[in-house]
Amino acid sequence: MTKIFILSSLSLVFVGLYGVLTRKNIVKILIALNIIETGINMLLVAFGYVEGGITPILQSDLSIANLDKMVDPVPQALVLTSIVIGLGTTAFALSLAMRYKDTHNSISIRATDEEGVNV
Amino acid sequence: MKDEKSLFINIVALLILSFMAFYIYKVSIDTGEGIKITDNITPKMRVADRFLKKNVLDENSTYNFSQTAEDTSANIVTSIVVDYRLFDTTLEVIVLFVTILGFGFVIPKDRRRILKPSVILYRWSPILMILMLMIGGYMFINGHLSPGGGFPAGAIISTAVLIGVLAGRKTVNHKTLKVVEAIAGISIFGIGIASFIIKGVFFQNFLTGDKIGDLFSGGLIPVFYALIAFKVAAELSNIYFEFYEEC
Amino acid sequence: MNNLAIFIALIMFLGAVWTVLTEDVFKAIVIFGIVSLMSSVMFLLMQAPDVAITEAAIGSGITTALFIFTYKKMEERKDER
Repeated sequence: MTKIFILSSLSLVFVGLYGVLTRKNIVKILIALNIIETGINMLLVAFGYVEGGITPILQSDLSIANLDKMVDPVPQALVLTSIVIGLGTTAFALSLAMRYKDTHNSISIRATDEEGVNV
Repeated sequence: MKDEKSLFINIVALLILSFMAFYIYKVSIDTGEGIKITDNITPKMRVADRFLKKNVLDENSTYNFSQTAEDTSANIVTSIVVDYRLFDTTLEVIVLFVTILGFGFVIPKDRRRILKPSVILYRWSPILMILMLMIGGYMFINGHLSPGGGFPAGAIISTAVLIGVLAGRKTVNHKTLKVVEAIAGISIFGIGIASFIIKGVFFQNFLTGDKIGDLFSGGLIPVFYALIAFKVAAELSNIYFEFYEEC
Repeated sequence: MNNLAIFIALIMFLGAVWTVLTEDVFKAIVIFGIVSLMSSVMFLLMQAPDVAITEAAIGSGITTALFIFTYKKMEERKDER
C-alpha cells in the first residue's frame, strides 16, 4: 500500500513539473502548479502511513489499546494548514494573471513573439 | 523549425523528470543502511510516537488520559492543530489574510457584470444557504470528536455566501465582513492573553474537560475552531465579492 | 482495498496527463477538479479523514470555482479589444 501511495503522489508531482516546464499558457501553468501541490501533500501524508494502520481518532477502548497502530498525525496536521495556504496563493496568482491579461492583451508567457494563444 | 525545437525541449524535459522521479522513488522506498525517510514497518522510529503515547516531556511522565488539557480531544489531529501547534495555525490564518489583501489590491477593477439568475436559483437559494450554514456549524462544533474542523467549516460557510452572490440576493456587505474578520482575529489573541494571565502559558487550554467523547470536553478547542471558521469564511467571501459585485 | 488504491491512482495519473496535454483550458480546469477529488479519496485510504474533508471542500471545490471565475472574466474581456 505504501508503495502505491508514494508512486501515485510522485507521478503527480512530476507530471505537474513537466507541465510547468513546457506549457506557454499562464492559466495552465497555474493548474500544473496546483497539481504539484496536491502531489506534495499526498507525499507528506504517505510518509506517515503505517501498514494496516487505523485513523488517529479515539473512538472506543479498542482504539485506545491500539495506539501503536495509529498512523502518524503530525503530517496530517501540517497538510491541513498547507491546503488552505495553497488556496490563498492560488487566488493571488490568478489575480496577477488577470492583471497580465489586462496589460499585455495575451496570456502567453512569450507575449512578444506570438499573439494568438487561446484563452 | 519552431515545432522541432519545442519537441526537442519536451523530450529532454521528459527524460530529466523521469530520471529524477526514479531516483526519488528509490530513495524513499530504500530500507537499507543509513538515513531512512520512511520506516513504515516499525512504528517506534516515527517522530510522533511520543505524541501518541501522550508523554511529551520524558519517558516517566505522569500524564494520563483526560487529566491534562492536551488530550481532552478525541481527534488527535485536532489536538495537534489547536493545542500543540496553535501558533502555527494562527500565523497561517494571518498569511491567508495577507494573500487575500494582495488579491484585492492587484485584481483589475473595471465593470463587474452580474448575469441575471434564473427563478429556480433565486427561489431555492435561502434553503441551500440554511443547509450550508447548518453543515458548517456542525463541523466546527464537533471538530474535536469527529473529522472536520475549522478550515472546511469556514469554506462551507463561505459557500453559502457564494450561493447568495450567484443568486443575486443581498446577504452581507463589505463592512460586515470586515467587522466579523477583525473581531475573530482580535479575540483569538485575546483568549491567548487571558490564558497567559490565568495559567501562565500563552495559548494554554484553561477549561479542562472531564471525559473524552463528550460534546463539551474540548475546553477551548471549539471556541478557537469557531473563531478560525468565521475568519476563514470572511476572508474567502471577500474573493467572491471581488469577482461578482456591482459597484 | 489494494485494487481500489491502484484504480484511483491510475485515474489520477491519466487525469493529470490529460490536464497537462489538452489544448482547451476549460477542459483542463474541470479535469483538474476530478484529479483533486480523487486525491481526497486517496487521503481517505491513507486513514486521514480530516485532510480528506478539507481537500474535498477547499482543494476540489473552491479552487475549481476560482479557476472558472477567472476563465469567465478573461473570456468576456476578449471581445472588447
